[in-house]
Amino acid sequence: MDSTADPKGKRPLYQEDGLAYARAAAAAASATAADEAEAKPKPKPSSSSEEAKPEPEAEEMPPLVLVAEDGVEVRISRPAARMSHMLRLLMEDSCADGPIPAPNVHSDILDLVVQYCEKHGPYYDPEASERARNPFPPFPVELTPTVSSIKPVTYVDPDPHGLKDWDKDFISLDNSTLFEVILVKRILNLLDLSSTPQDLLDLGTTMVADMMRGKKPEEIREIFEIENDYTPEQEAELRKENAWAFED
Amino acid sequence: MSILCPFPTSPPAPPPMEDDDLLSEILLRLPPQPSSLPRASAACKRWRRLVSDPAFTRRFRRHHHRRNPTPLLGFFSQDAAGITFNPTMEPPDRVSPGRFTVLPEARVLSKILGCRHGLVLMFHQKLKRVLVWDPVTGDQRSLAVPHPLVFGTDKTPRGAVLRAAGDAHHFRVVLASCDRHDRQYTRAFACIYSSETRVWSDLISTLVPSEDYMTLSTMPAVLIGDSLYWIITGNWRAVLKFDLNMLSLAVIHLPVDKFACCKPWNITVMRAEGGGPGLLFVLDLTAQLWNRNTDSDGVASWVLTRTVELDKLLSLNSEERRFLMIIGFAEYNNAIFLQTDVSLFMVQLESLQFKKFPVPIIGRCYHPFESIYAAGI
Repeated sequence: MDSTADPKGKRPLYQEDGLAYARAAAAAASATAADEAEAKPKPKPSSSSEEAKPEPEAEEMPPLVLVAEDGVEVRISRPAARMSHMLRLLMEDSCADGPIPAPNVHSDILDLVVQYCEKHGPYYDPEASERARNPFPPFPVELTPTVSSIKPVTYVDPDPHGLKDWDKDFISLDNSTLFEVILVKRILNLLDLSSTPQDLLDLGTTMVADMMRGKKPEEIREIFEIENDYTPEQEAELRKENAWAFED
Repeated sequence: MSILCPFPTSPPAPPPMEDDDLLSEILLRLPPQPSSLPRASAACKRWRRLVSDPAFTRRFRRHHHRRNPTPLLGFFSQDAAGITFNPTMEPPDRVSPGRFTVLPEARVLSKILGCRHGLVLMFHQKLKRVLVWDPVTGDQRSLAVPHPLVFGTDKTPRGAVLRAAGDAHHFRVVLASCDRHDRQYTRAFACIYSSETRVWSDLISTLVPSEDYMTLSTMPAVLIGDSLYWIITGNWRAVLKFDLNMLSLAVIHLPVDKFACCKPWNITVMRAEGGGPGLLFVLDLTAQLWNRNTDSDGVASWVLTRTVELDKLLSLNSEERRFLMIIGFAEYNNAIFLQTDVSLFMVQLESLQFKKFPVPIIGRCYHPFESIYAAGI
């Protein structure tokens, strides 16, 4: 059904049938006629720019209820749900009042994804230019305290909302679970990277990249179960030539 | 792998980490700090191979260029002995000076004209050639300059290098100068080189009615939109604009009374709020920010929009107050670089956040080098 494709031709999070099913299920659950749920696609409304800031209305509305494949219900607040293209569509179509099935997604994984979205959602503006749409906005507004004249200032990686620290805790969970976050995406859209909705691809790959932030090569190998195929001599050579990159 | 087991209903997919395309998508999202890709390369040979692929490094650079402020890696300076790199980031991103070495011939006789988009532009005074150097990859391109007029009255052109929009691989070089035409006019010249076509343009020029001595400031050019801007100095003040699309030169005058006491080092073009060119002028340790407004009749004029007391903002000590110089403008981060006798500052103009670094060797001129370190090991 073309109605489920966004203008860029990407498929939504769920298979086309899945979206129609979700809409129908949500519509049926909220006692709306199934016909209305299958109405023509809404063009991206211009009012979606208001989604930039969490609207008071959206926050007061009840959270969405996602149903994982194992039947467990996972709640996600509406500001957090904006990070998912499909959930945004459902909210815009007012089809998000009832339970939304999430086929092929185990509740453990869904829980992690929801936690991530809850943290980043309020700062995520899908309508913003790519530069502005950054969970770690650069240059926080407050002035840095003045420093002594001799000490060089560390390059501050600005994170005014404390998202990085939170992410460190978040990703210190069992890493095979996070592997499964990526796996979920792969399962949903099989092998074609180009058909995965961009926001979910961004989300999953960003989460994995964040896990590697600041880690030493040996830590990266451990987390991702990589075999070190450098000989000790080769590795020593590499590290020596680029010693600065391996300093603490 | 056991992690496939919880999903018996799905067809088996390759474990994500064995998919090169997916791994590239992940590595692309590592932070643009210098240590990111070297550390990833050290994990195993496969990762090193992926990261070393020029197509990947181009994607990495492009991805981060759009999304993040480009990190300031440090400053280049030069003296009779050559060009030195002074890193400013903390370990493990503190790139060692030895990592950025240019060929010996280029070190001693080349003058740095400016840095932009991770490229350094140098002018080889003896050979009359320009050199485009990418310190991160080590690539160097030496170009002969076909138009002697761009060397100007002091035999050294002013120049700017930039990466071509949309394709981080290619670059452009613009050289500009002024020369006396006759008693009433000075002529401003420019020419542009594109690495795609490997050709210099014809010489572009414009006449400036000026009986007075006029030259282009040696301070680096500023790129705003699709135009490069230099400050014209000498006995009066103006701004030279080179439109990169139209390949045309134009002169924007500055009101003499407002800018009478500005020197080449205390005035720079910057990006105004509307996105067009503005001016930053430091007078008595106060920064004046000027915008160019056009009224309903189409007449443009310079308007003072904001002042910032730099001595208070930066808590300058007595040594620093003696001499404050503008050494550059970070176009994407909208930040100015200032140098005093003992310190270097990067001040973000909107937020007034700043970073401070000690001057490694007093007396030298420093060129800020911002780059996305897109290279493995």
